[in-house]
Amino acid sequence: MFQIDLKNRKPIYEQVVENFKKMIISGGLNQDSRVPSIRDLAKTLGVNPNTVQKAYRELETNGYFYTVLGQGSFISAPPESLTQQEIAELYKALAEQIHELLFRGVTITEVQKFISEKFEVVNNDSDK
Amino acid sequence: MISKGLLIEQLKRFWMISFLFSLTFIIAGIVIVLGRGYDFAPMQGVVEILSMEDNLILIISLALPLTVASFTFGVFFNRKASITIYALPLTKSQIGITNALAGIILCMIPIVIASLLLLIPIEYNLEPYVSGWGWMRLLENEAIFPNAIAHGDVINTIPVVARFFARMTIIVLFYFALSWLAFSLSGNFVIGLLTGLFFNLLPAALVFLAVIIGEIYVFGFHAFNVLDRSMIVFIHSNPVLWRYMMENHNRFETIMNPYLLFSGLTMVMFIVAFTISRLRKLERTGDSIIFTPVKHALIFLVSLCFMILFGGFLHMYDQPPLVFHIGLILGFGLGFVISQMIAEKSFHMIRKLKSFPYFAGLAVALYGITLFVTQVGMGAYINYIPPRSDIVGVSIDNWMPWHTTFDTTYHQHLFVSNPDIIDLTVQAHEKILDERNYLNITPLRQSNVSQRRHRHIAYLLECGRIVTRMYLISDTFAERTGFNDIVYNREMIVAGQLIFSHPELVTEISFYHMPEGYWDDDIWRGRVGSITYVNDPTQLEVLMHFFADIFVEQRQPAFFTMKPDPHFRPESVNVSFIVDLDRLPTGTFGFMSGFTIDGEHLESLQDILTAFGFPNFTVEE
Amino acid sequence: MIQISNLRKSFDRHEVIKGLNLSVNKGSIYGLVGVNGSGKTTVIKHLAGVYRADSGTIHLDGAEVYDNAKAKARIGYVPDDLYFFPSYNLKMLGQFYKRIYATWNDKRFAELMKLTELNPKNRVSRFSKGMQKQAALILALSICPDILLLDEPIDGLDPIVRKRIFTWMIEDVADRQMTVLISSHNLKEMDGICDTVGIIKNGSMLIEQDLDELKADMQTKAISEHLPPTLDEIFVYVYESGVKND
Repeated sequence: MFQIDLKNRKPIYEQVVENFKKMIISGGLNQDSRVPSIRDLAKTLGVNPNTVQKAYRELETNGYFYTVLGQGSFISAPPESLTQQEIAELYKALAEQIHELLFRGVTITEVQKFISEKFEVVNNDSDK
Repeated sequence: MISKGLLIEQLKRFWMISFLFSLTFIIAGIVIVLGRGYDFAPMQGVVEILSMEDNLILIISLALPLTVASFTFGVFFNRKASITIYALPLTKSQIGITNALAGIILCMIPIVIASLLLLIPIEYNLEPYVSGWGWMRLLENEAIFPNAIAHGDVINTIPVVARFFARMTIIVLFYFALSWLAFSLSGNFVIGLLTGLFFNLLPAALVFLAVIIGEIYVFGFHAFNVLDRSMIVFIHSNPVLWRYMMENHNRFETIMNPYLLFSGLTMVMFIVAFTISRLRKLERTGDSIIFTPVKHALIFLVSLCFMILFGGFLHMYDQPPLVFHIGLILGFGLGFVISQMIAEKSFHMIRKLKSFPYFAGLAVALYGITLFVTQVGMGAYINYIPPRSDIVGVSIDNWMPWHTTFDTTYHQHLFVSNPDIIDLTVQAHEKILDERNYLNITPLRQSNVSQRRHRHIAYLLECGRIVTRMYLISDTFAERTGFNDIVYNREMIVAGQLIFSHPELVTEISFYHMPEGYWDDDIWRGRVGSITYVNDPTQLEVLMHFFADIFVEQRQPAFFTMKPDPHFRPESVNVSFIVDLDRLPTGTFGFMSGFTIDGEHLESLQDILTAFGFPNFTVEE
Repeated sequence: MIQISNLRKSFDRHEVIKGLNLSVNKGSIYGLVGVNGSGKTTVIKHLAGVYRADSGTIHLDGAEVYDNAKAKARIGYVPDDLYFFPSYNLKMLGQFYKRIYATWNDKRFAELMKLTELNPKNRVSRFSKGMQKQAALILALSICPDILLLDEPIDGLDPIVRKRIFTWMIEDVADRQMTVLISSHNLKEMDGICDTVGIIKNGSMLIEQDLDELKADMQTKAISEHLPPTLDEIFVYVYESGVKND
């Protein structure tokens, strides 16, 4: 499914969370598809089951998973539930990147061109 | 309470030992039965096996429990093994009991096999053999076959084999328990063996100590034979030795039923070993003695043993007090050093020297107490002389071979009941006690060391009790107190020799006349002297009185200064007494049966015989 | 599940454990880390019921472990110094353990033997050190213990074997909430596998905490330049500064 990078300083559970998020966002995991059980994932990845449990808990708290008693965990609907703050954070980070580009001599027009081209491509993909 | 799993595993691991020992028994049995050179050998062999006489059987019965114990308990001398075993889901009690049970089973298997094999009936199939020595041998003293085994009888009946089984079991379990006890106190195998040996010798050593202290410090103390008393205790603490002594020496005092005694001791040892094994701390594995207090106690005891050894040795050789006490100190010191080396398992025990003052201090304190008790506290014993009216007989020993009515080897006395002698003895005894100046007598200060000898006095009381005292005094002291007067008294001397105290027992006297000559001369070898027999009671009476006079004369002090010529032998007559053995009084331990007469006594004898009508002594060429 | 309170232990009048506290939750993989001589092995031996404490308590679900057969039956222990009955092979050892431990699982044992490719008919004393460790481990695991105590189990083993061992451990923790306590010098590996760590120094516990939380707390400039610290960095820092949160 994915690998854990032990050399990376990032805590393992964070890596698990990040990896799941990435997969969900990129569409690698469909809505309502079953997530491996904590046990299975721990065995597969070779990590502490408590760690996996921690990750799953966070993913569930943040709305990426939902659990059906007796059946396991499943992928939730795409997260519309990004909070306002999270959106603001993301925009802030985006703004910083754009500032850097402008600082380096890229014009705002070129940036806009980039966005529309890029997200047209993305939209095309998601249509498929 | 027992772990089945562990038990099975121990048995599985060590069953080979049982197998090997069973084989050993069988082979030993065959060797014993077939290993003799004479006709009735196989029977003899079987008899000896059954009565556990054969030393080989005794050795095996020692080796078996020791080997089994080494394997079942030896694992706890190994630190890694102990860790693994203690981590198992078992309590220490379970481990202890299970191991003990496994050991007991392993020990019993060869015994059971040997006993079963011995049940195969063996008929005594030789003609009745009448011989003086050893053949019509009893299986036991308390025998199933009183005095004879008839043709066709089965030797190894069930009760006999059962007794063999019981004896083997007791001996083996005794040593198994002792080994467990020793091992549970020790951290490694060698120390375990030493500890076991030490415990086995300890009871006897303590008795030995008490007796030595009595001998050295208590004036008049008499312990018959020091070693004998210790040996008795030793035998009572050691079943193998018991069997050995029973068969080979047949006479020693038994204090109590051996089965009860050894079973009891075995049970006590099992319980103590079990308790100790539960208290063991694993981290002490490898140390010499696991429990520090026990270690200290043992160091002290070993030092004490060395002290006793040195002191006893010096006492035996009559060393002056200064040397004696230096010997005690050196002995204690040496014992301390050696036992510390063993405890530390290295020669570097220097740092332990600082604990020496404590041990030495304890020893000094004990010595002080001993001195106090023996000098001050034992007055009642030291000064006791039985009331005159209670005394019905006395017996004395002056250490010289014929000046005794008191046999120290067999603890038997010939009591003289002559009232004058008794009075003399009591007087002399009182004088000995009055005149003793213990600065002169005790090891604290001595004089006349070379002339001191052990002299004994024994009283037979009306109630049957015997009171004995022993005094280490010089000839001058014996002279001064009147002790010697009794010794050289005619009555006393005569009383000490059966043929003179009971002359009526002599049924015949024979005289063998020997001509003069040289001991190393060929001449007299070819010559035959004449033999004369006298058995007329009246004549015998006269002769016995005559000989008694000579006998008494030969035991006066003046006689001992005469030295016989080693080469030349004057004309002499060898006198032999035949005694009616059926009428010997009880308690007779031996008697002189002849002596030699020469010189003027020879002439007097010739006169008497001539008066009786016997021919002159002649010599045939 | 495991609770050590104020443990004290001396050897030959030299105090080795000085009032140590330790706590392990059920289903946790706890790493006991410390330098040589800090007392790790001694603590583990107390937990295994091998040593008796001078004072303090060692509880497994509330019951004292020492001399407690029931408690020890739930513990699988792999000591640092291995001992096997001489001349025994794995098969015989398995039979022994089966009789002693009520929760022994033959099937598991067989599977594990197959995985390690250890020959059950060969004498264990003839195995190499690494194979012996594996043998000890599979014996402990086949007991299906509630608690697994491992004293420096992986030091000296090759990477393939190590991975195997961790996989088994994880399976049991995941499947039946087995609790594990490991001591090791390999902090990197501990980092990857433990959810809780206890840092022990000179016979007492300096820090005992959930590892992720600990990392968050220690994400300071001094330790790791504001990056999430590794266990290694935390250890060195804690040891040198003597930070305690007992």
